[in-house]
Amino acid sequence: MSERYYGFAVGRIRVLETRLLDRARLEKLAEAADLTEALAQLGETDYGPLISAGLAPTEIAAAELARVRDLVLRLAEGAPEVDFLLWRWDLQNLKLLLRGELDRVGLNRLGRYRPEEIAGWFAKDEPALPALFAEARRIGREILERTGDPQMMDAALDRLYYERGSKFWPGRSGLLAAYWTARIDLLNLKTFVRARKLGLAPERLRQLLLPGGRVAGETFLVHRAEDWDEVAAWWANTPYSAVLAACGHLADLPALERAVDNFLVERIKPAKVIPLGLEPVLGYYLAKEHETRLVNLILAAKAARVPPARLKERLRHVYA
Amino acid sequence: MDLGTVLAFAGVASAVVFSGFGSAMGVGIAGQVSAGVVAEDPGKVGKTIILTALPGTQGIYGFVIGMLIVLFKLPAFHGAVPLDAGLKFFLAGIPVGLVGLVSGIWQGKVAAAGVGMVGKRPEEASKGIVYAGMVETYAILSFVISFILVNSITP
Repeated sequence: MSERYYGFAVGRIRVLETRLLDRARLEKLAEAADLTEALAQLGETDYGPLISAGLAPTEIAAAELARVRDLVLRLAEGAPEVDFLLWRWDLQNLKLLLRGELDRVGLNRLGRYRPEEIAGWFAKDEPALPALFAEARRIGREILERTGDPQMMDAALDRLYYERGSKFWPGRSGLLAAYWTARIDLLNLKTFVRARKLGLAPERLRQLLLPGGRVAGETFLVHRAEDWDEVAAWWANTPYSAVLAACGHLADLPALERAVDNFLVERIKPAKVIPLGLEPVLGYYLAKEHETRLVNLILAAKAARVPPARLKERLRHVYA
Repeated sequence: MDLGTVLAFAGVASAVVFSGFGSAMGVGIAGQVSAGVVAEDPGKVGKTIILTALPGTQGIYGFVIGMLIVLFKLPAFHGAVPLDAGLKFFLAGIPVGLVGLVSGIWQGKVAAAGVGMVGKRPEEASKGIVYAGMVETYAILSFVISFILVNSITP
């Protein structure tokens, strides 16, 4: 990845980083009296054109992320690293196509490929997509035919994607490789906690855990039956002990999710000080993914009249 | 053409080509970042120009050494340059050429980082110039040595 400088892209990203919503702005949004005031505040930021265009509050975050997706694709000039990050959204579309749920949920416009391209490829193999998609389609169909369980199909496709990622990032970017590994481990931790709470069988948990992390999947299975104190003692000796310290108790799922998000944002922040290369572009894209999730959270909370104090508790660290 | 003259020309070429290449690379790197910053914020063009131009000085130093040899030193030999003098010209051109090549590229990278800083904090532009100026030190030192070496060569 360091073979190219991406100077123009980095220059634009440096200015765009100053327009990311910072913590103070998000807290002010959370303190807004109602949804109308929150939208008015958001209108003064990069989200302004979307609000002026009259988009529904539920559509604003996705539309902003779609705009950033277009920008990042232009700036990265075909870099496979950006494609790989965006494939996550393409695979979500593929899952919907495999499930045949298009009547209920539309395909997203956030992936590397336009929804029409994915749907055309799914139906007629046109245009040609990377081999990962053909493999994902084959695995998805096989699981659905064998089990009829869409959740198992989702888990298998997630495993495929993250497994590819753990081979893709090393050698391209040390920062992204470390981020990817942390993301796998922390997604596994959340899956592990949910599985314990739901009392899932070990075999089911094994199917849900992602490969490629620093904490082996088998280790989660070993600790599955232990009490929470023993689990905490184990996790405190992993490279992610900060997550435990931040959330207080692993069984507190909302606090754990907040701590995981904060940890991952901090992990990608060094991209802000890398002077040249693709990392600042990737960092900005991931920051925007995170920011749009927070904007969605705030707007949904405002629509549901969640008290500002409770909403502020749910806010995360930001990249800005 | 005799070997002494060939070596003298090679000295001119090494001084001009290598330092020019370093400057072109350096200005190119910093210029791309500047263009990106200005694309988003046209008001920052003034603060990015000095940083973008800084890596260009290496090429000027190499050009000065080359011109010094071609315009003032070689005519003093009235024709063929002796082998030992030609070798001296060749060696005298190397410091400004090679250091200009390396320092031009690296100064471009430092200047690019400085332009990125201007993109975020325009009030800190002078600090970016200071950092890029530190790389300049070594280009100046090599220029001075090449200048002294060239001036020490007499028919």
